[in-house]
Amino acid sequence: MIGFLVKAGLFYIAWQVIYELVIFSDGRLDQFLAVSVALLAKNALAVFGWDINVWDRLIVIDGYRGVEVLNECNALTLMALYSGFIISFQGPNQKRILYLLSGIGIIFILNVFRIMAFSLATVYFQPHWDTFHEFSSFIFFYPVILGIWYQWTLLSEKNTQSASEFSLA
Amino acid sequence: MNNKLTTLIIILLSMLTFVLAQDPPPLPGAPNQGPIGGMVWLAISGFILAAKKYFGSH
Repeated sequence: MIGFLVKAGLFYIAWQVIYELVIFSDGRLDQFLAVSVALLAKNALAVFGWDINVWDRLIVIDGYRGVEVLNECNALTLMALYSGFIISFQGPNQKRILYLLSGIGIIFILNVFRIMAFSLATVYFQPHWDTFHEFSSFIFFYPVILGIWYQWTLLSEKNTQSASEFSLA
Repeated sequence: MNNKLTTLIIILLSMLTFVLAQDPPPLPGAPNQGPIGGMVWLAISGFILAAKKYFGSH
């Protein structure tokens, strides 16, 4: 447990330093995530017949208030938080890479759905937009992330058991 | 007559540049912004999950 806490602590300190000094000042990763999420959300809603436009990070259904995908909305910090747990909690390394990549991909896709939902919220319940926004992470992200983390702990447990059986034999 | 026509065309052309140079229509309001909130709860849940797994198996 101490090992997990130390690894997680070091990971988040390293992430914060790298983000502040490199990623944030460079800006390209944040920009890419924000613009691609806005563009994919726009395209998905356009498939369903919505008259919708996107300008850079801003996505607007015609005649309604837009949604702006800020750096804090592009899910990069959430991807780091997710990765921190998978990296710090013991488990098989090959599967770890699989869990990291697929988890980050899932978070990206969930964020597209979230931004789509935000755009539709401007049409159907703009007065309650702030409330919807406040709870959106608990609807879109957290159940899925906790589910994957739980699966990872089960996998880790299984791996530890089979390793101890192997050493006993 | 020719002079009037020329003047009219020049005025129309200059007006056209004004029309084309307009900004896009304003949005109905400032855009909504949606930073991801409550991440501390996810972190706490992750810690509890890890602790439960660790102390449960030891």
